[in-house]
Amino acid sequence: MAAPLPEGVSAEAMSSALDRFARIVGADWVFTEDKITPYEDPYTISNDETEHRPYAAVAPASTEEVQEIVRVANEFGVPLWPVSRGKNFAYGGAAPVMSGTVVLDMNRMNRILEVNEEFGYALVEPGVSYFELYDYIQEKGLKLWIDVPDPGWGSVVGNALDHGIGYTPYGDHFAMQCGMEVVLPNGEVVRTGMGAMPGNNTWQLFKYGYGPYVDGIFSQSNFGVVTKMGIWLMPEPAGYRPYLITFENEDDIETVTERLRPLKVAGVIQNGATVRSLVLDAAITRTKSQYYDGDGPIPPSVAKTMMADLDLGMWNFCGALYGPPPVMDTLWTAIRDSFADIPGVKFYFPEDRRHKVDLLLHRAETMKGVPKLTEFNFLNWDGGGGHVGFSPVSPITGKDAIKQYNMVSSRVREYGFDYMGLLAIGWRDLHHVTVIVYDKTDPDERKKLDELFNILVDEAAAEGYGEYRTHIRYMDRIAKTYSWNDNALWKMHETIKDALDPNGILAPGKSGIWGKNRRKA
Amino acid sequence: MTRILSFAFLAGLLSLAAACGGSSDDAAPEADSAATAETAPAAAEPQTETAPQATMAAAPKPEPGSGADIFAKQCSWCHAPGVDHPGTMQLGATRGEDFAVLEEREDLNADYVKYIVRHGLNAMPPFKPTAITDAELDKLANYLAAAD
Ligand SMILES: Cc1cc2nc3c(=O)[nH]c(=O)nc-3n(C[C@H](O)[C@H](O)[C@H](O)COP(=O)(O)OP(=O)(O)OC[C@H]3O[C@@H](n4cnc5c(N)ncnc54)[C@H](O)[C@@H]3O)c2cc1C
Repeated sequence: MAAPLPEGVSAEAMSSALDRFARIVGADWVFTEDKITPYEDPYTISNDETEHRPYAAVAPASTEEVQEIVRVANEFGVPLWPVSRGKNFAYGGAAPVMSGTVVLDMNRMNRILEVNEEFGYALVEPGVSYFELYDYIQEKGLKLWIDVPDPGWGSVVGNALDHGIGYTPYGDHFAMQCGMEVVLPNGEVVRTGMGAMPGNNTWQLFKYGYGPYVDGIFSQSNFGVVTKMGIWLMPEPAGYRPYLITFENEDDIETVTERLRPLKVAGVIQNGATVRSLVLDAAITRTKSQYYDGDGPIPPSVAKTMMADLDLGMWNFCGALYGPPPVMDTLWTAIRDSFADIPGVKFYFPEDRRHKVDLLLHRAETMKGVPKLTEFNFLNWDGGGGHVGFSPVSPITGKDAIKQYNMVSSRVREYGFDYMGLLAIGWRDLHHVTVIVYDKTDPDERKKLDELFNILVDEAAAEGYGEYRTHIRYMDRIAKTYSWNDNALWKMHETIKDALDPNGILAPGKSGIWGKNRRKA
Repeated sequence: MTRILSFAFLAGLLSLAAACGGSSDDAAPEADSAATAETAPAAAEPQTETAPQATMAAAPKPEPGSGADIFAKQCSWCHAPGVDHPGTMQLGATRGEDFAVLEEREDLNADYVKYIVRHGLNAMPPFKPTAITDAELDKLANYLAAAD
């Protein structure tokens, strides 16, 4: 089915805009009709084929081309959906919220502009992938690490802008961002922080510059197109020692989380550590049918077999130590002692693992910033290939962890899915990321998933838990849960939107923010 | 617990010694348990299980821009040998070992490869024409179709 035009845009206006885009970037870099498939959401949830469909894609090669495209978009009222590499799988891929939106694909802008070993930073364009930045650093032999999310093919810029996470000490990507270049919706280009000062040499060293600190408003938003970004990189540490601590019982998550908090807040746990659930971890090396061929979630007896077979627990805490050996020794003693009295706890280093393809051996690479795609294995669990992430935030307390776990896992299982979740431990919060793996080819299952997801959002909100990020399908719904004082914050976002993007051409509906031309009362 | 704990701690100290020796690579455990191979036949653990980085570094570098090079850069992360590569794992589990490793297959034709790259299959998402251009896709598809 051909993609619909964006609401309020005529076929003539679209076709004129596409002609002009082709003049800017070259006809080879404008994609329509059968060429547009790769821009659709591969893990679609909707059963309505007219939803979230891009009309076309345009791929600029420079900031100047982005500026020209944005000006043309204003002239014809054609909406644009900017993506860096557009690998936002589980959250919509490269697809837009609003059907007919033209994807602004920045894959071709993939220059690594600078990597500074002395200060530990890189300045990159949006199309630079983690694989590319990693290879560049290896080839040059620089003593720097990058921090990667699980899929190495994503973009340093796109992932940070969507508040993505990784697993080294630099795992909070947006916190590690320093200095941006942004094309505003009117085509003007700004540099943030120290970048606003001509001849300055601290753009990637000091975030705040002078005056209001604005970088945050370009993340998870539709206020500008980021064309360059600075990202801090960790110097290679003197030593590295990944570890895995397994816990036998479902309820252990309460005690484990209580013990984790002081360790994380004090910096004893140095990295973006995760506590991962059994099925998620089993799915890294096995498929469900190897253990269970019944319908619905695996029963507890099967869980026991999997634990014994794979040397895993009901919960698996993956962390790592970084630094000079005496420092690692001291930190390890404190960490080990904090968990040692939990019945059934087991401590492992990579050398202790029985299987060659193993959770810890895999995480050991990720926790030192080696990009890969191994984590996609969990999508193979049930054979259906689809995946969506439900990611509410809560404090690092045992009470919240067990409550979250009970709320989400019971609903997920009620709907026939296995619970596959992880608690990603941030500076002060935990992101409880539940991945729901579903059969994307089955309309009934998609419908069921959609229903489940809406319930999860509403139930979480009723208990005061909000999502940190979401799939394009749920952006409005989640925005509405951030409603304190009569939606004051989203009203402010709309004020900013109207000032910067009066024609509403940039990413309509991103994070539930709409231009005034399409805002519903 | 105590036994594992002390063993783990000792092992940690050993790995630390290795790290001091200048290697930051993770030590890989030596042998796999026979028991698992029995319970999990489809997982095919005896396959090569080195990390993709290591595989790529060890193999002779393909000519830049060739089909083999495009495969190494774009596809090997999921389709290199070993079940830590999701494409290989999925194909092994659903189609059988003979179909698991793309570069070893003889049944692939170029048009099929091109279709899958642009449309995705199962958990595999499609690739944009800006990530793999049409010209690159031709080379890649011919490379896989010719592979034996
Ligand atoms: C198996 C699996 C595991 C995953 N694990 C992780 C994980 O560990 N951590 C994690 O963070 N994510 C994870 N994800 C989610 C996602 O795949 C990654 O975050 C990925 O990096 C996002 O794709 P991208 O980097 O290409 O960003 P993009 O798709 O390019 O960007 C994401 C969004 O940011 C906005 N945006 C992007 N670029 C710009 C720009 N230049 N200007 C303005 N706005 C822009 C757009 O709204 C865009 O839709 C996982 C997904 C899967 C399927």
